[in-house]
Amino acid sequence: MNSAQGQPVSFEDSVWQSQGEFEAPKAVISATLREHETRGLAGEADTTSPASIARDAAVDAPRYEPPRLAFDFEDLPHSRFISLQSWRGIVLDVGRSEFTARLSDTTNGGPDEEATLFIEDVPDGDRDLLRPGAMFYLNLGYSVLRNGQRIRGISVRFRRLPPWDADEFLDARERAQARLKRIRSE
Amino acid sequence: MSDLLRPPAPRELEISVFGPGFGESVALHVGGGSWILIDSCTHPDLSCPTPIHYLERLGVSVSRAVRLVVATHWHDDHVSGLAGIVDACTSAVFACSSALLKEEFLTLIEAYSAPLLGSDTGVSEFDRVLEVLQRTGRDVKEASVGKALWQQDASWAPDGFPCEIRALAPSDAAVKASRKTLVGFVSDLGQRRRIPAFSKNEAGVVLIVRAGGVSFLLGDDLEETHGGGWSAMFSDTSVPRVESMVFKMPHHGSKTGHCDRVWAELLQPQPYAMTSPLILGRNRIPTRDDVKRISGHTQKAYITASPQARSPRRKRSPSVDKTIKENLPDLREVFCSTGQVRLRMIPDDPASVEVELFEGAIPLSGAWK
Repeated sequence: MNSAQGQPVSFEDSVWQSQGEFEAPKAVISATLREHETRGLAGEADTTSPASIARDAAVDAPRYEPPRLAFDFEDLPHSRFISLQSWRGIVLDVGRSEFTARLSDTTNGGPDEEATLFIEDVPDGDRDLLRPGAMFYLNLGYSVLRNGQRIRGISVRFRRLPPWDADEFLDARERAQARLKRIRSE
Repeated sequence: MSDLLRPPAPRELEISVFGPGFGESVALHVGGGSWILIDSCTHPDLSCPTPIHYLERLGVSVSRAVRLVVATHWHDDHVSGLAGIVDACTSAVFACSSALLKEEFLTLIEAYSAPLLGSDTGVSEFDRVLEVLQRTGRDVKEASVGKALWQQDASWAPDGFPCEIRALAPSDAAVKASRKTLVGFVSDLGQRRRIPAFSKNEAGVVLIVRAGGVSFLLGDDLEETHGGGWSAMFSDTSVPRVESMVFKMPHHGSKTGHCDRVWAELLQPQPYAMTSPLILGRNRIPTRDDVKRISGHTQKAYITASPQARSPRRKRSPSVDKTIKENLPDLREVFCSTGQVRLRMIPDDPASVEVELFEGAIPLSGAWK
């Protein structure tokens, strides 16, 4: 169910069809089908969902993992993103399929938070930036497609800080040398 | 008056370890109303660094009573609020690892002080510390193996006791290894900038505190590294082989900070051991195995908070909460406590030891129960 409009949604087809239109996304919105898998707004089981069908068809099969959809919402014509919550993050630790980050709530403020994010939520074009110490923006909200359809999820976009160049390094070293002369140590 | 707010007697030696979950700091009362602060940590509910908050609640005038401030290394979890401590403790000598007073670390500071990165890190905190020292015209004491950082004899503090604080590390080899690591942060030309991430702490300041007839070993976050760490310290013949009765365990009791020779050669049997947890996402130190290993060395170990501690999930709108559950299932506020392990004793009377646990601090044996 679309929790914003309370109307039945079958967005899988349009999203999967749309996905092929985009290359090297700058930002990804990832939406899971878990809400379709389990219950609608009224809390009733949704027996028509892909997850339910898969579960019924293969009881002994490995546990069904709902697909995680990824596409570049920024390049979608006539689409817009409604942010409900945003954070600024710093990567702390990178594992095989997940990474841990410290998050600073830029919507409401308050103490920092920590979370584990899926690497597959990071756009392909940003994967090379995924290292401890890297900074990123995390947004949670709706992507509104041109047909009015809304997809709820998160987007991860890494901050592309400029690369070091030799001049900057030499400048920093010169300033360090000057500072070293000013420090009175014993 | 609660026990927490009872100041130590002039002839009482105190070590208090603070550990909010991500961070660690130590306060030492070395007799006669003199205090030493080692590293800094903060708590979002407090308006000043945790050790300053504690001393002020005890009624201590930090501008006069704090004699020495030591920064063992530059990692975020040990320097949060350090510039505030240096600023407030105007009579204190500031000491740090000699590795941090080399061109390589200062280059790192200069490279990362640009507003472009706009995030608070151990590097930017150290930048502020150096600014405070320069503004107030104070010197920096380089801590390296064998160097005395602070001494007090009985005549200088008649109501106290003789006390000496000496660095056991970093060794020259460790400083050399650290400089090589540090230069890698900024000389990686062509690589995109990022916040300096933790590397192994190989050139931290290990301290031995000798007061009256007892000694405390403060293990910093020193980890075993190839050619550095604890083994490098033992290779230095100038390191005094004194058996301490109190041990501030290195690196939150992790196996990377463990060295059998420390327990065998630098500590008394069954020493008092204390540490703080490192709670970083799913990483929890000390682990269950760490606790088991430490318990094999002493039954008198304490920790400022359980490594299993978790913060409650922050309340948000139902729509946001639902998406968080689906996509960020373990999102939590960073765990933060005001836990404190405090040990007080009369230096000439080992039987006078009193260990007190405040605000969630527990015996280490209960850490994973």
